[in-house]
Amino acid sequence: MWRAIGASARGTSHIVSDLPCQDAWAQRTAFVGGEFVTILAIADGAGSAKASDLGSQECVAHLVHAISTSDFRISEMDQDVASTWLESGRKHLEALAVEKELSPRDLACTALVAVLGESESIFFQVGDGAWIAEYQGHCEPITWPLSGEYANETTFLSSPNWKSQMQFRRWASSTMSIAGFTDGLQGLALHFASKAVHAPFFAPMFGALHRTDNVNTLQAPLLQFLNAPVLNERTDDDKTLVLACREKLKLRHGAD
Amino acid sequence: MEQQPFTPFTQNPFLADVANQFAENPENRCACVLLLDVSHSMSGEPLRELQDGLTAYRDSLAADSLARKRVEVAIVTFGGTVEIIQPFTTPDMFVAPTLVSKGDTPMAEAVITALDLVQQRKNEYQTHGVGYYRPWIFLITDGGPTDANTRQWPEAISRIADGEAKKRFSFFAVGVEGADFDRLSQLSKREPLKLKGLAFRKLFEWLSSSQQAVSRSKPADEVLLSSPTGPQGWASV
Repeated sequence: MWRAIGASARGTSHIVSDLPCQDAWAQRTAFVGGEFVTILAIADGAGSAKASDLGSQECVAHLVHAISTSDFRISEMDQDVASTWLESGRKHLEALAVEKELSPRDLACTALVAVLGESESIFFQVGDGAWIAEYQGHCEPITWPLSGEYANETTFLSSPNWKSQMQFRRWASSTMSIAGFTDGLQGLALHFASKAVHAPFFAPMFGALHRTDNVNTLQAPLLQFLNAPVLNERTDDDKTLVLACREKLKLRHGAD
Repeated sequence: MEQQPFTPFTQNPFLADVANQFAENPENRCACVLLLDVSHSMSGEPLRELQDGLTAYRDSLAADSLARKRVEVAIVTFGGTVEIIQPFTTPDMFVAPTLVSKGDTPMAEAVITALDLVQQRKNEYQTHGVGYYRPWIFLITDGGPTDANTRQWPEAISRIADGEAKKRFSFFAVGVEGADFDRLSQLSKREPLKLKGLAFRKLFEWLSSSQQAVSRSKPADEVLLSSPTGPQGWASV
């Protein structure tokens, strides 16, 4: 089984311009296809979209619910299946827009999803931010931030070309830990020239995760980290970081 | 037991307190080519005002903490010859070069030089994994092209049209009093703007603040540029 912690924190530029935090994340664990599966979803609302905080919150809540209540086996999940879930997220946001008398553009957000199983996991996303894998201190990217040609462009779930810009990866996951994050952290966690993960960023994260008996004790420090001055000196955008690792088996000794 | 809050004296386990905890990626870049007419007719007061405007532009960008690292300015003059008097340089690393007027107006050749500079810069950004914003090409002239009868003129026109259609850059043309606006309209997809008198300083203030806004823009932000026309603006219709 997987255990996950995560936090979203408002960026300093959002505080200055009186915008709410437009990042959101959600998790759900369900017994699906004969195994325990943990579903993680992250979304980053478009800065200029007037209700994208609502959009990102609704997007992640809908995705974890829709996936956790579906009937599937991870081994059978392919890009087509993943895109139908994203399509349902799109439709959910479109319906919400109608209900709130907004345009879908007002709720625009990116979407990053991880479906974590016993031996295999799948990852898919539209837009920037990324998922990375960690094996005993070595990190590698699972997905990569997709922007358009220009630094101030990305694809959102509401964009017409979302499907052609979607990334999908299947990953053997029996021995790894993972992390997911939005673009507020990508410049600190990734090396763009070499398309690699900056391992020192994640070393304390996974170190703490693997040492602890109860990951929930790391929830508050994670949020505090995202609000730390040393971080906010380097990024003024909203930040989300989600970390997940395999649960340590607690072996019980023989009958007492 | 109540969760102990982490104070500066209790180490947060996620803070490694090491120098390289955070990746150092190069800043995103906003490339801007200033295409400046320094033909003979610009000599005297127009050139002095343009020079002052250029200095104010550099100073304004250099005073902005993000723009000073992100906006890269190349300066191409055309007057008799076409010269790249400054390659792409960030405002924290240059002083406005001195402009010298001479000769006629090889505008087409200057435009092609600017287009080539932008393309080359983009190739360099891509090679080095540097993010960038849509580049600017900003033409200022008080006349018309003296090379309009060469093959370079239609080439300049078609490359600008193609580049704008594919959002490869944004091309702006500004004419000082006496400029050939018919020719400028052929060249520029956007309506050429007419400078009010010699208000170069205001023009460059506008350019600087527009580029400062671009430098801090996030995905899908609409960068609303303030209108250059109107009573506070530097251009008139």
